[in-house]
Amino acid sequence: MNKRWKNSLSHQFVRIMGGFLVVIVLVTIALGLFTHQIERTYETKINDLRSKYEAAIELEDSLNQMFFEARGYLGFRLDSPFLASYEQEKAKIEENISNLEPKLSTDEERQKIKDLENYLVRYNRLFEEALDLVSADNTEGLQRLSRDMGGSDLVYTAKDSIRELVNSIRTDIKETDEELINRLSTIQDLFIAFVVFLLLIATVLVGVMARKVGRPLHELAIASSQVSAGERVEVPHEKRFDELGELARAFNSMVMSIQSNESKLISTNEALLKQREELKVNKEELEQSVKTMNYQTKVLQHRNQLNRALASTLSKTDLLQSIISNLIEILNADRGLIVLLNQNKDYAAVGLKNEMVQRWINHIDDGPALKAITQKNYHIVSRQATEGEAGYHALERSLSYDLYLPIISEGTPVALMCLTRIGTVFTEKEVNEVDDLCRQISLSLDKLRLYETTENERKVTMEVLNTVREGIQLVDRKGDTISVNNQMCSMLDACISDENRKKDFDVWSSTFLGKVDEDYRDVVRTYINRVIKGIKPQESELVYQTNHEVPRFIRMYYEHLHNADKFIGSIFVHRDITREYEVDEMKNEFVSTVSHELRTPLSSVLGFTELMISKDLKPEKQKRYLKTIHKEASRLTVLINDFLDIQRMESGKQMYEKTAINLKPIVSDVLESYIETYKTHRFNIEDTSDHHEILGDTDKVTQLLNNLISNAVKYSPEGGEITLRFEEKNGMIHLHIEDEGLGIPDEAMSHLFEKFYRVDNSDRRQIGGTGLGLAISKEIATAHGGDLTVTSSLGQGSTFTISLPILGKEMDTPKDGGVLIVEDDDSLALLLMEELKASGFDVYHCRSGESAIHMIEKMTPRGIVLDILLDGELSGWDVLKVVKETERTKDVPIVVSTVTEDKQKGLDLGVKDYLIKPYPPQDLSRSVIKALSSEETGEILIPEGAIELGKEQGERWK
Amino acid sequence: MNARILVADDEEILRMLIVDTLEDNDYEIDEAEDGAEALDLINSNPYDLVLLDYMMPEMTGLEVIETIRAKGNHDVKIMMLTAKAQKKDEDLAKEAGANYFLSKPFSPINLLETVEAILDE
Repeated sequence: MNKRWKNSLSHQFVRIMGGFLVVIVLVTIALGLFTHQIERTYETKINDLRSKYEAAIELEDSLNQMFFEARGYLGFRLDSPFLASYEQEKAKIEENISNLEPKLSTDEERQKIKDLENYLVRYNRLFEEALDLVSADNTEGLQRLSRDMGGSDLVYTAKDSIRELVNSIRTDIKETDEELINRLSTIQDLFIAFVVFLLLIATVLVGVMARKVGRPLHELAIASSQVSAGERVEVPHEKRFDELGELARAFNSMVMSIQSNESKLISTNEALLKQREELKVNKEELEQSVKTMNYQTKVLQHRNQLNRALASTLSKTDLLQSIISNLIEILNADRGLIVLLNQNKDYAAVGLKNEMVQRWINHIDDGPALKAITQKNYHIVSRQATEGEAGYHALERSLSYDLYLPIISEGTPVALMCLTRIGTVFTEKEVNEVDDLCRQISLSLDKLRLYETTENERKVTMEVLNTVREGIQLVDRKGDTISVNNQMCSMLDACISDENRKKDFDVWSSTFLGKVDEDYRDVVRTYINRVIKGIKPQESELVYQTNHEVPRFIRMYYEHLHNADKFIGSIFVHRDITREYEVDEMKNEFVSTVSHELRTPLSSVLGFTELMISKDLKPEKQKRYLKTIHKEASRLTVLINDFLDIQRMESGKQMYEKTAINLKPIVSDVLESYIETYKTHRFNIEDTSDHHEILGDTDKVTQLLNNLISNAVKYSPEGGEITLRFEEKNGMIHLHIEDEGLGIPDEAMSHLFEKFYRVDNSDRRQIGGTGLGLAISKEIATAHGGDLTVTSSLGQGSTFTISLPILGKEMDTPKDGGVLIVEDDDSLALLLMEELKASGFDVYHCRSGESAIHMIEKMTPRGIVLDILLDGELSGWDVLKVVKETERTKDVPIVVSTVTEDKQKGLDLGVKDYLIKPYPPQDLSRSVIKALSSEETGEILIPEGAIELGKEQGERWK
Repeated sequence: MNARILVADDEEILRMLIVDTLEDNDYEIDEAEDGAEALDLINSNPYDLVLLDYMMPEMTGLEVIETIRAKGNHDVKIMMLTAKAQKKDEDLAKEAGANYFLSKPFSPINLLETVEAILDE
């Protein structure tokens, strides 16, 4: 590591740079020190010089001053201050000289000072001589002294000497300054030289580094590009110990590894190339086999499709179509057909027009087809392709081949196929293959036949089941619905077999139980749960009530189904017994009410009788009791009569002996007895009608009037007016019986004509009655083709209105050739009359059998529309009998329109048509028109404007 | 203190018959013409026995009994008199809370004896 570090380039670089820096620093310091040294030397020297200079200047000044003082003294001879100043100055000079002397540096200067001192000494001697002269006032001596003795010269010499000294010092200063400047500029030059030297060194170093690092790198770069170019190279600088050496070694090892990998890769690549070649060959082989496979798959697919169709198709058309189209694909044929050899010659074809197929079928007993059928074996016909066939193919393939294939079932040909291929002959292998298929086809056709038969039978069975009036449900062993008939669905307002999910036991049973009234639900649930498990329920049948708005009563029974002693399911039968149930209930109610009604008067009769027997009673009391007994016994009689009446009427056994009667005298007669009995009431008759004749039973009409008038009297206990008012309206006579009595509360109005209903409040308690009077009255009125209605306002009275058909009025001047409608339902009659009138017929309407017979006695109708259940005594059957037995009318066409489902009886009695209500009204008019048109005489023409259908039919029947 | 009896029947003749039957025994007898009146009287008077017709206007005898018993009056003895003579009617009456049941037509002597026996209890 250490060695490496020492050898490393970085280390070298650091070393060089370090050295470099050290040199710079040292040289800089040296220069600095040197400069400093120079400056200090200069400073010392210059300071000495300056002080010397100053001392010299001072000496000079003091010298001059001394001379000045001396002259002054000598000049003016004044002993005064000049002499003192001279002495002072002389001392100062001496001081200054001594001051200057140590500062002198050269001998020359010292010499000068010595000279000066000498001068001064001489001057002083002179001056003292002068002084003596002065004191002697010897001016001449003085002058001679000055001029001859050299006084003045001496002065000037001294002055010059000192001046020279000063000047020389000044020169010295100047020289010293110059020297400093010279030295500094030398240093500057030295520094510049050093910088230049540094730059040179740096340049040299960079050159060295470049040589030492850059070149090897460049060489390595060249080597690596050679390697990448795939050349083999000797990597340089491997032996070096610095980073480059490392780089070179790493690079070398990389090169080695790349080179070794490369050789591996090359060998792999070669192997791959080889494999690719093989694969290519394989692929070509595979493609070839795929082509073959595809073809075989296609054939197989079509075989599968055919098989599937054969196995599962139950539609004849679909099956035949599937057979022929798949066979064509399997054989690669161009066209073909299959014909069933049955009555219908059902067929399917591909590539052939229907006319061609028909033609072919027409000639099936001829030529190659016949041959195939009779020989029960296939054969092939080769023939010239027709122009059409060849049109699609190349010219040389101008032969077509027809393959005739009979399908044999139990030795009998059942179908024939013919397949045509253009240009290519059928091989034996192909034909054998198809021949095998023919056996399957034969089986499938058998199955289809069987299915059709079964399906037809099933349809018939379902039809039968649907015509049955009971709801029938068939369930399997698990309780799931197999099928239900229509009645079952309509009975429950829900079909429990429609959708798949509804068939599950849980689903249908909850739907079903949802329709059952809550009170019965649990019982029914238990019942069906037991039955579907094959267990006998406690009751073999039960009756339940539905929760329809108007509840229906259903009797339900079951039957377990067994197949070879194995339980396979159950049948539930639901029979709507609402009517029977209601009749039964009514009967029970009636009996119970009758018994109740009878027991009350009987209690009185028996009770009072017993009291009379067991007690000793006063005669008045006995009489009162007897009266009570009599009254109650009479009430019993009335009750029993009323019971019998209502019972007879309800069971349709009441006989009415109807004759033409005039209502008015009957009303008068009845009223007569009331006028006599009830003096508190006033009775009036008002009459606005011209007709009072009706067809009626006098006794019953009298009973009707009695009931109503006695009610009017009873329910107006305070008396008042009772008015009987005749009114004619729409061919009916209306008799209003008006009282001013208690009136009827609203809530009672709708029950008023019910049996045993009595308006229930205290006002009426006193008023006796059986509660049957109004029910009987209503029965009588309707039995006469009329009605009984009521209007009332409570506390103000009631008006009961009897309406009865006026005799002869409803058939006002009947004409032969009109259509007679015998119908007690006014609205239906009206509808029908309108339709027939619109078709141009004269129409007459009767409500009862009696009036119909009465009418037929007067006229011969063109046709009769007859209801069976009619107002009054006689039924439609009676009318029919009369019509058929009368010579004049026996050929009149009759259409029965009724709720009575007795069609056969009607047809047997010779009616033209028998319509069961309810039906759309157009059906009836259509039927009537049809009946009239088909009348045997053929003379009856459809009137102008007859409805469209009538016209068509009329024409057809002419 | 004479026993108090209420006779409730909408048929005046029957009320008369019952009253006449019981008249020799010095009972204090009230009459009611319908169910509502009977209920009012029972609620306001302490009767020893109520003879109650089944079929009455306003309120049937059965409804009267049910109302009384529902109000917590279980003391008053009630005899149901009715022309509804079937077993189920008797069961209905007993279930509603009638103590006795007598079907019409009845024997007045029998009624008298029964009433006496009840009041002697």
